Parts: sequence; structure tokens; C-alpha cells
Amino acid sequence: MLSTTLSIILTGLFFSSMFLLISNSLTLIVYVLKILNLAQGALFALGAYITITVIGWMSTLNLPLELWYLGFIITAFIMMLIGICLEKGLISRAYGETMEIFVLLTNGIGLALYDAIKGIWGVFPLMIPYLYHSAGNLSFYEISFPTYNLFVIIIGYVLSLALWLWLFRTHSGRVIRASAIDSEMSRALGINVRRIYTLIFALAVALCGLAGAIIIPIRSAVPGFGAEEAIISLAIIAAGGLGSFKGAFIVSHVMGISRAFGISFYPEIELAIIFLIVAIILAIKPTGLFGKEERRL
Amino acid sequence: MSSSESKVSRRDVLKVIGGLIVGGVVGGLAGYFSAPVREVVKEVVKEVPKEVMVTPPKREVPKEPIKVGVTYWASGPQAAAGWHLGIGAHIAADWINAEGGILGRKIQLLVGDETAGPAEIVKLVKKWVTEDKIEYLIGINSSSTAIAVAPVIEEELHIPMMIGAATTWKLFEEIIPKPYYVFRVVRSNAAETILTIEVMKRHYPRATKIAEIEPDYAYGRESSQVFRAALKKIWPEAEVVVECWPPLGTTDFSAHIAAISAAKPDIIYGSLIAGDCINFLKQAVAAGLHKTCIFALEDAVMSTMNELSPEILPEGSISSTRSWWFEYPWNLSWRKKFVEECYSRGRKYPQFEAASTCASLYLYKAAIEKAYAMKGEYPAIDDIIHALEGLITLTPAGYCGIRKDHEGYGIVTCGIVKHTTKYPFGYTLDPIYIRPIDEYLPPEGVKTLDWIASW
Amino acid sequence: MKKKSLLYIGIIGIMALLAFLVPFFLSSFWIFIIGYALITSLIGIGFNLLLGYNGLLSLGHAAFFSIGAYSFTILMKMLNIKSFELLLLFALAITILFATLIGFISLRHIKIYFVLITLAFNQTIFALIYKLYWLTRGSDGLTVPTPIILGMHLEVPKTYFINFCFYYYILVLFIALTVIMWFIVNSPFGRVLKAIKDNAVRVEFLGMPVWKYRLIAFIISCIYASIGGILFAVFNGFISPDYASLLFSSEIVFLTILGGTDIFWGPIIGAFIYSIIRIYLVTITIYWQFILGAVLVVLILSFRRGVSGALTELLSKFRKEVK
Repeated sequence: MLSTTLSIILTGLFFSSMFLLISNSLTLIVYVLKILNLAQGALFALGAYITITVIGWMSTLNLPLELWYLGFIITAFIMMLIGICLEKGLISRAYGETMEIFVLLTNGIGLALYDAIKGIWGVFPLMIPYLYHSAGNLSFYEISFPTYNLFVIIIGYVLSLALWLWLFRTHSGRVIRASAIDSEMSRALGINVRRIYTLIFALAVALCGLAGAIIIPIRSAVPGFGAEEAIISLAIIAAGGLGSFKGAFIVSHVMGISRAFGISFYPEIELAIIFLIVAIILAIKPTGLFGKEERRL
Repeated sequence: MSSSESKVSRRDVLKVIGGLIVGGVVGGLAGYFSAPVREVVKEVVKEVPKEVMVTPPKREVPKEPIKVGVTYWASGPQAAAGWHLGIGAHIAADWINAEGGILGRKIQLLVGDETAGPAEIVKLVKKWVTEDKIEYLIGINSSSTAIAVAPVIEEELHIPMMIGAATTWKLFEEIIPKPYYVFRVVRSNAAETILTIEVMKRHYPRATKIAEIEPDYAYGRESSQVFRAALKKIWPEAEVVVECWPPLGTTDFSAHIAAISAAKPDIIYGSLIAGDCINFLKQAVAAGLHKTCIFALEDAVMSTMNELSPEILPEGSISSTRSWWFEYPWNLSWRKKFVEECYSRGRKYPQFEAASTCASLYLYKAAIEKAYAMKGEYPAIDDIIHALEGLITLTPAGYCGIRKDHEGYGIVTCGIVKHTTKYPFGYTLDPIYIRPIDEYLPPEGVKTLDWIASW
Repeated sequence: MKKKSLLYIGIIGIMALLAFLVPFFLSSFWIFIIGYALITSLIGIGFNLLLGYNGLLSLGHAAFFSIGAYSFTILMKMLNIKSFELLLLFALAITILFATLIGFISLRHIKIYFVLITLAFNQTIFALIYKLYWLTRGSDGLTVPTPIILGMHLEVPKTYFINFCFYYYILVLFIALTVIMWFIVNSPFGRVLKAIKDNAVRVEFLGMPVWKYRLIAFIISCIYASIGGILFAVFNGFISPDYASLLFSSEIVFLTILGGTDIFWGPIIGAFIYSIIRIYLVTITIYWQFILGAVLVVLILSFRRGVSGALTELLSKFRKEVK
């Protein structure tokens, strides 16, 4: 019993870590730019596909396996550039509009991006060979857990911690939070809010792409990759409270572990459980666990 | 709106709505309970009166190309398996056209992607038949698509349909019990399930704890029903200790693997197909499951032969296959050419799906030629159907034929995986068990589950 | 003024005439497209009651479409009733139940929170339809048997039934429901909704319970989506969980915005353009989602008022030049 529970909890943490990365990316955009980004799934998939190309190129150079991990950093960098282009080219044109407009805009971008991925990388599933099981697996307490999954868990926590420390403990983080809380005042104080928007958007895109990057050695990349994770992450930030990092952290874990238990014990309603939990949380507290109170009308 | 328009008060709105609803309900109920048959409508709708024809003119061989629709998984996680349905059709069409086509008519292929889902395929097939005027439908990768499209073909669209890869037994037992237009050149995969159980019991008689992982759609569900029923009869000591149902197209099996490894089974059995099978094996081997369990995946070597590399398909695994047809039972030179052609086009050995669509086109050609020879004119659809029943002909895939009940002849194969360098994909099946498929399927007219229950 | 109404009536008359003549002149495929366009127009004008007249963006209408379609089909199979009207009433009763429940919970929020909670409910229903195999046959979908409309036992081949009899049934229902919606938005009820969209706080202070009005609008909107689903189930003969997906919800939003949310006829125009493109496009290219997404982006950034907005602007420019 203990080993079963332990292995399910570990899998749950693995899911949570992935949700954490995507939710943090979403929360970042909501918190600073006040936009709900529905293109997250497409960006997640884009990160995965770019990683396949990058690591595929690296494997032809006959580099040792350890150096392949650098491919993730290269992908993050490329995603950052893509984020800057997206923000400057499309998102910034709609600044000043209501949130619904941005929902529709990012939805359109997401749809188009998915098919662009299909067009560039083709429709066949693509994989990264060797990397996943070269990391081996750990055996303890009668369970065996792939080492790579542990790596994913650690990365998730490290990046989230780094993000949180930067935003809440450094000077530049304070500047960004100021622009988030009151952009007009910040502008009046001489802060270049537009540049901060671009930077934050690019950072969020890079984070999301990185999530896609580190998950791809485990699976194969197919059209439609990541759509489910993206929708679950939207539900997570809704339940945690839009713009709240604390909420995203807690609800990601709730979701991840429920999902692991759901698949193991109640496969029939596993997907429904997740959204039902979110719907119940929102029904009780409309703005999510840690969200700000809103006008009722 | 302009002020000259009369004000519409709430009462008026409610009146109108109420009136419409009451009127509709009364009308409907009245119509329902009153005289069942409206003579007037029946008259209008009656068919055109039959003319008396003395000698109908002979049907000329049409000049236009024969349009053939082929559907398969062209994108998404199962694309690697679906590709074979396409390539078999393309090679067959190219070879037939090179020899002059069917009675001089060239074959033109229209391709549909099944990843869009059965609803879209139904719409697409309807369009193909009514707008593009296809005369023949082949392919059909997914059992879900078969279940959705076959009734539409039988009831509405009326063209011959040859299913190439959807092997659910439910199709001809429950969905369309007496098919007229629908054929299937492969047989139900209940045969593979039963043979796999026999091989499991024979080679690993002490491995009695089984974990079952099935894709959550028509094919997986029906396969599981046969598995459970047959397991009780053939190997009563074995028991299923855990079952998992990942939806078709799942790429992340972490939770399922965790659940399976917690149950500590001896054998992991499943009918995961194509992309799902690859991902599952990859992740299961990374989790170290191969050290403690035997994999017995029915479709591993059936639909993912080329993509499974030796490092994720351990020796000693069991797999049934239909894709070993290029080795057994006949070694014909035409088949060797087919294998080489397929390899030259895609660097892959052809899987059974390629043989299916290739056979579908050659069977169609043979049926038309046979009916033409008998009648002296270009055959109508009914003639083609009667010619197809009971037809056996030589195709690049070997001898293929259709029985009178619209299912194909064939063999069922299962074996133990052994790593080798003989093939580019790195493994072979040794020992391998090959049986005529009729031994592993119920006789004509008997349902699979009833037949198993009667053992 | 008189000329304008005459023009209006003229255009509507011609459209109606064309619609009636469709089954005689077009092939089965195009009858399907026009039928699909009529059905999605219904969903669109129902949806616009929420979006255009209320300012609420719901991402959950695909769920109601499916609730209608699946309730109808499941009831038909379980209770073995064949009467279309009877099943319609039952299915609508189920829809109203769901709509009231979900509306009750969702309408406590506004703006982005409303969007998110309708999304969550949509996905819940999608997951339930997908997973409750014993009831809905999950991803296999359900074949819809032919019902009996208006009690007439017609012994006709199925194709004829769908292309002629049922097509006219859809057309008549479409006209009736559009007229009803016209009355709704031009009634005092509709005017209160417009006032709520402009300034909800003021309306609340005037003593009218805002969320009650929103709830009724929500229920009406869901009923329209549900009727669309039921009509589609019979017309298509086959339903699957894809019609409860977020993608389909996005398509509903897309067609409404494409047509224009400001004018009553906007969604109808949008639905027709969308249906033709969508059904035809899928058979031509596998990149149709790219086109959908790109058009949506262009619409949002440049043509906010949709096709009908662009048309009215063109018309007013034309009139100015004539003057």
C-alpha cells in the first residue's frame, strides 16, 4: 500500500511540476499584462518541436549525451525571441481593450500556431531517442521511478522558486510588480512600462516553451500536443485566483496529485474530476482561492 | 429602431411565444396520434411509374477515371501506422494504372484523414459520394470510423466499401449483421487475442498476474471483452490484477505505469496501437518495468513494426502480428517487389495495412473484370458486389480473397520477440506460430462471445 | 424610411425564396452545407443574445449543443420514442435544467471570470460525454435514427427524408425561432438587457435585479444552442463528443464575431460564411485551423464589427457619396 501511494504521489508531483511551469507562465502574463493567454498550448507545443529540431541537430554533431541538455536552454532562448515578436507584432496592437478581446486574439493566434507547427514539422509523430532512458531509473521501497521524471520535478520547483525570488525579493522585481499594480503611476514615475510588458511576455513564452522542451524526451510530439495541459492550466489559474502565484502553486499540486490518483483508481472520470474540482472552487469562491475581490456587476 | 415602429410590449412577446409553443405542441401531438399514414404525402413521394423497356442498351465502359476514396490516420500519434494504408493504395493504383487501369479506366485516389474524428469522416465520405462521385471506398484505419461510416454506406450511400484495417468484431455482429455493400479484407482481431493468450500460457505458465492496458475507444473495449471471456476459458488460473484505459492518442503514460508497477504483475497485456504503443513501451522501459514483467502487446508488431527499436522491445516479449505476411506462407516474387517498392518509397517494411489496401484495389479490379466477362457490359454496383463474394485472386500481397459473408481469408500469427540484424528494425519473431484464421474465429453466423462461452 | 423597410423586406424575401428552392437545385452536399448554416445561425443568434446584447463571452455553448443532441438521441434509443416533437420537449427540459444550474453558478461572475467558469463547465461536460461510455458510447459517437416529424409516417428513403422533408422542417423552425428572437430583443426585456450592457450598476440601482435578467438571457441562449444540437443530430445522423469540445465553442464565438455582434442579422451572415468555409475548407486543406485562427486575429485587430459592420460602413459611405 505504501509503495503504491508513494509511486502515485511521485507521479502526481511530476504532473504538478509541469502544470506549475505552465501556470506560472500564464500567471505572469495575467499579473503584469492583465491578459488571459489562450495560446499557451500552442506555445508549449512549439517549445517541444523546437527542442526536437535543436537536439536532433546536436545529435548529428556527435556530442556526449550530457551536453544535449543544453538544447533546452537554446530552445528557451529561441522561444524568448518568438515571444518578443509576438508581443510587438500582434498583442501590443490591442492594448487598452477588454480582456475578452485578448482571449479571442490569443485563441486565434493559438489556432494558427498549431497549424503552422503542422506545416513546418509535418504530421508524423517525432521523438528524441536515447535521452529518456539513458538517465536510468531509481529503485527504492519496491518502486522504480525514472530519473528523468525526477529531473522534471526538480526543474519545476527550481524555476518557480527563481521566478518568485526575482519578483518578490529583487529591485527589478519590485519595478515589475509596480507596473503590474498600477501601470499609469509607474509610467508617470518614469518606468518604461511598454518594455516591461515585452520582457515579461517573452519570459513567459520562454518558460512555457521550456516546459514543453523538458517534457518532450518522454513522449512523442504530435499535432495537438499540449492542448490538454494548457486547458487544465487555465482551469488551475482560474481556481487559484488570476494573477496569484501562491494560488497557482497550491492548485497545481492539487490538480497534479488528483490526476495521478484519478488515473490509477477512477479512470472513467479522471478528466471530469479535474474540471469538477475547478468548477466547485469557482462556485464557492468566484475569484478563485487567492484572487482579488471583483465588482459583482 | 425608428420611432414609427409600434412598441412591442412584454405581453405581446409572451403571447407570441406562448402561441407558437402551444400551436407546435398541439400540432405535433395531433399529428402523432391521428391517422398514421397520410395518403397525400405518400402519393407525392411514390416513385416514378415503371416504364416498360424492351431491350436495355448495353452499358459502355465509362471513359472517366475510377475515383476511389481511401481514409487513414494521416496525422497525429498514429500517423506512422496509417501511412501504410496510404502507401499500399498508392502502389497498387500506380501499378494497375501502369498496366492500363481497370478495363482502360485509370484509378484516381482521394485521401481522407481519420484523425479529424468519425464525425468529420462521415461528412467527408458523404461529400465524396455525392459531389466527387467516388465508386469505391477503402482504407478505414480506426474501428470508430468503421462503426460510424459503415451504416451510412449501407443505408444511404450504396457504394462498395472494403475495410482494410478496422478489425473490431462488433462490426458484422452488431452494427450491420447482414452487410451488402460493406466488405472487410481483414478479419476480426479476436483471433489474435485468443492466440496471444495461448502463447502466453504456453511460454510463461507461471506468470498468472496480468495487467491489462487498453485504448479507451471501440477497438480497445471490444478487444478487452474477448480477452476476458477467452482468458477464463483457456487459462483460468490467470487473473487480471489491474486495468488501465488511456484514451487513444495519449502520449503520457506516467500515471498508468505507476498504477501498473504498483500492482506488481507478471505480464503486461494490451492492445495499444501504433503511436500509443511506442510511447508506452518507451516510458515503461525507462521506468524499468521490463526487468520485472513480460510485455504481451497484441498490436506491437502489427502496426508499429518499423518504429519499434530493439531497445524498447525487449527479447521475450510476446506480440501477435499480421505484418509478417512478407515471410509466410507464400514466398512469391511479386510480393518481394512490393516489399522493395514500399521500402524505396518510405524506408519502411510494409505492414499489414499496406497489404490490405493493395489487395482491396486488386480485388476490385478482379471483380470488375470477372463481371464484365460474364455480362459483356460494364458492371453495375450489384454485379460488382456479387462478383466480390467468394472471389480469390493473386495480388502483390499474395493470394487474397473474400468469403461469402464479406470477410476476408487469412492467417493469424503470434510469436516471441528475438533481437536480430536480419531486418532493419532489429528484431524478429522466433518462435512464431502461424494458424489459419478460421480456427480462431467463430463459424459463420455465430457471434464471437457466444462461441467463446460455448467452449 | 419606407424605402429602407421595403429594401429590408425585399432582401429577406429573396433570401427566404432561395432557401426554399435549395433542395430542388443543389446537390446533397450543398443541401447539407445550407442546412448546417441554418442550424449554426440559430446557435449564433442565441449566442449573440449573450455576447452582443449582454457583453458576456461564454465558452460553454458547445456543451449545450451537445446536451441537446445527446439527450435527444439517448432518449430516443432508451425510451424508443420516435416522435421528434416529444423528444424535443424532453431534451429541452433537460437543457433548461442544466442551463439554470450552470447559469446560476456562472452568472455570479462577470467578464473574465465568467469566461473561465463557462470554460470549466464546458470541459466537464465534454469529459463526461467522452468517458461515460455506457451512456454516450464515448468517442465512438452515436448514430441517430430517423425520427418521425409532425406525426407523419413517411415511407421514403432516408436520403430523401433528410434532404427534403427535414430540410424544410429546419427552415421553418429557423424562421420561427429567428422571429421569436427578434421579438425578444425588441421587447422591454431586450431593452433592459441593452441597458445592463451599457451600465449594469445603474440598472441595479433602478431596482431591477440584474442577474435575474442575465440568467433568463443565458437560459434562452442555451435553449437555442440546444435546439441547434438536436436539429444537427437528426440532420447529420451521427454525433460525437467533438461537438462538445472547446474548439467547437471557439467556432461558435468565431462565427458570431465574423458576422458582427452589433446587428441582429450579424450572426446569421457569419454562420453562413463560416459554414461554407468550414465544411468546404476541410476537404481541401489540412491547414484549415490556421485559416480560422488567422481570420480571427485579423477580425479582432482590424474588423471588430465583423462582416455586417464592414457592410454597414460601406453602405453609409455609399449613401454619403450619393448625397
